[in-house]
Amino acid sequence: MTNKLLIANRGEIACRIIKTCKKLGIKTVAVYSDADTNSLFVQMADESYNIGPAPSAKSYLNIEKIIDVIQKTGANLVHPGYGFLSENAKFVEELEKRNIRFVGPSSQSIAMMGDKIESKKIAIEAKVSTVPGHMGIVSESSEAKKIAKKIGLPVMIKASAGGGGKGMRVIYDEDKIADAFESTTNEARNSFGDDRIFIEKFIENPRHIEIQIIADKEGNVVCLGERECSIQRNNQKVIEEAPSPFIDPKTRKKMYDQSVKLAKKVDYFSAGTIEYVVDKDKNFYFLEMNTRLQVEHPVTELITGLDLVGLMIDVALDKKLPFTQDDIKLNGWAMESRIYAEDPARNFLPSSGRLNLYIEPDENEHVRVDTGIYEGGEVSMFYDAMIAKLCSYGKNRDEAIEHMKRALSNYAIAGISHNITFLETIMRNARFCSGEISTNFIKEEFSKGFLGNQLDSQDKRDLISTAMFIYNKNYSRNSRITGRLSKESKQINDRWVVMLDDESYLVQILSHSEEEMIINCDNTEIKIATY
Amino acid sequence: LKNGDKLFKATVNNVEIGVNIKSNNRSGGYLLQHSGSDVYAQVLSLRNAELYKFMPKLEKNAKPTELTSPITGKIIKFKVSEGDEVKAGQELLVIEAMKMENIICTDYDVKIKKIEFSENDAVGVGQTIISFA
Repeated sequence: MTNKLLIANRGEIACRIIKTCKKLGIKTVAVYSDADTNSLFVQMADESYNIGPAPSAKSYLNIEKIIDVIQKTGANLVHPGYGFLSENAKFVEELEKRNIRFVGPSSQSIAMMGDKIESKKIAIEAKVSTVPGHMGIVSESSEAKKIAKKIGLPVMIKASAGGGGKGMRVIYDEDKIADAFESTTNEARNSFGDDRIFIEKFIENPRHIEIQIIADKEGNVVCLGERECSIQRNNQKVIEEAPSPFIDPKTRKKMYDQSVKLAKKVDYFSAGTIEYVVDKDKNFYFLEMNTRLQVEHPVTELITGLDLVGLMIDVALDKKLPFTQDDIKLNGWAMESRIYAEDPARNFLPSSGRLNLYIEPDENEHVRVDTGIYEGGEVSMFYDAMIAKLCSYGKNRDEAIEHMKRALSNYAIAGISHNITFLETIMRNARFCSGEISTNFIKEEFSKGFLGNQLDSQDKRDLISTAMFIYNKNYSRNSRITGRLSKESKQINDRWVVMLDDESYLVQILSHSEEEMIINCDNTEIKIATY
Repeated sequence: LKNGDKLFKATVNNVEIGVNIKSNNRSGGYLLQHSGSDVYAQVLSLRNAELYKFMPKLEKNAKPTELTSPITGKIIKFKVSEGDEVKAGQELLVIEAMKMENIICTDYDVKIKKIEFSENDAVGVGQTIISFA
């Protein structure tokens, strides 16, 4: 039987899945909402079907409609990507009932790991280390106070159904517990329709490090290294890397062991991620398990040379893993920058609209781009603001950062706001480059918001020579316009003033041709050449 | 480098660089984006540079007379009503876009003159939502 895979997702990740399917010779079916009619993934898929209006609840979360399309097209596989229905046990159950293969774990595994309190209980049973805290639901603020005293401040009050930064509060001060408890309960009730609250120890300056696993249906579980995702803003990951600059082989081994134990406990198969918080003494505590492909999976693919989507499909088709733990070697260093449609200068407000310019850096062995957008396409206000992922790969961390810097400077997007300048600034941040990071990094380094990078003398040289080069180019072009005095074309003054915002620099042109220009500025010679 | 290129690729002292040309007024003024910053670069002749200091400067921090929508989205809630006097930093309204509720605050002490939209209205970038007295 030939395989046909339906992608119950959109955007970047849908494109990513289609790419692997093309390689494996699997036919693809896309489902899309009205807002995505002209999206890239719809064009890339072999077949595509509209499943309703733009709001996700009426399209990408509409189980009935999606199952209709599965049956109409005869798809035997369904990949959920991340977000939307990827961790919806009910959806997977419906598929299991109809003998359609879900490219992911079983509905039982999803259900067991889906609830924060339940999953923590299971983790404790599996002897996985967890954050000290109160097991179970807290219903009164007086009770909350007692528990907080017992585990010691600071504590975190968290909604069971919470996520993405909503329904969480950190308390350093005993008097604030009652207030925080009230507002977290309200927020949880309003946002998730579920006001169950729990309390745990808050770990200061934590790192967020996660273990990628892949498991087959025969019970083989293999760990594919860790990813460090400590660079977050409001609990949204911004930059991820693999391996982590903080984890040594001994800690990694311990994390592997516990991750495998947890996966076996829930009879896990397919790709999954176990998230840990790691404190400054390399103690790690289980946070949650994501029973799906993660956004940042490409960094793991770069250092292991594996195709996670391909492996997930193989597992869904009952194949055995083609390797064991001993075969897994972590080579080099990979980094991922998430390109968000948001304006860092305006407190990261999301931005939507038409892309009137979209140029990606060239992909090569050091640069990988995963995207779902194209020049002329639209970024819709209905979905996530993440529009692309830029990955770099090098022999070591410094090299990966250098490749990332170059790739970011060769990325051009206009029509919407984007966070590339913010990413460039992080890549130039000394603390980031040293690897001394924690999940508080952005809050601490950009406490007053993002005001643009401070240009160093090299940046200024780049900009002065660029402006002068472009000016000269325009000048010689203008001189070729019909009817100009011929004399003007031959001469350009050799002394100019270049202003960068309010600072002015005296520039002397020493020589210039079509492709190259040498100038002198502040007694330094600068050679600029196009290639 | 072709006419109208938005991405300038070159080597400076043999190091590869990329600069975004966000706008080019074709008479020596360029809005450039490089290494995490937006910079307005101008090339002036020596005489023009001398005269430049006599040019009037645009007031950057002038008090606004209206709030224009910074994003496209749906207005969820107004936190102020007409006639209110609000302080810098106070919340004005909430706009939902891209799954996120965005709280729009004022940067200045202002008095609300008129609210041009109702709750649940869709609003586009640049549309005036509130005018200030």
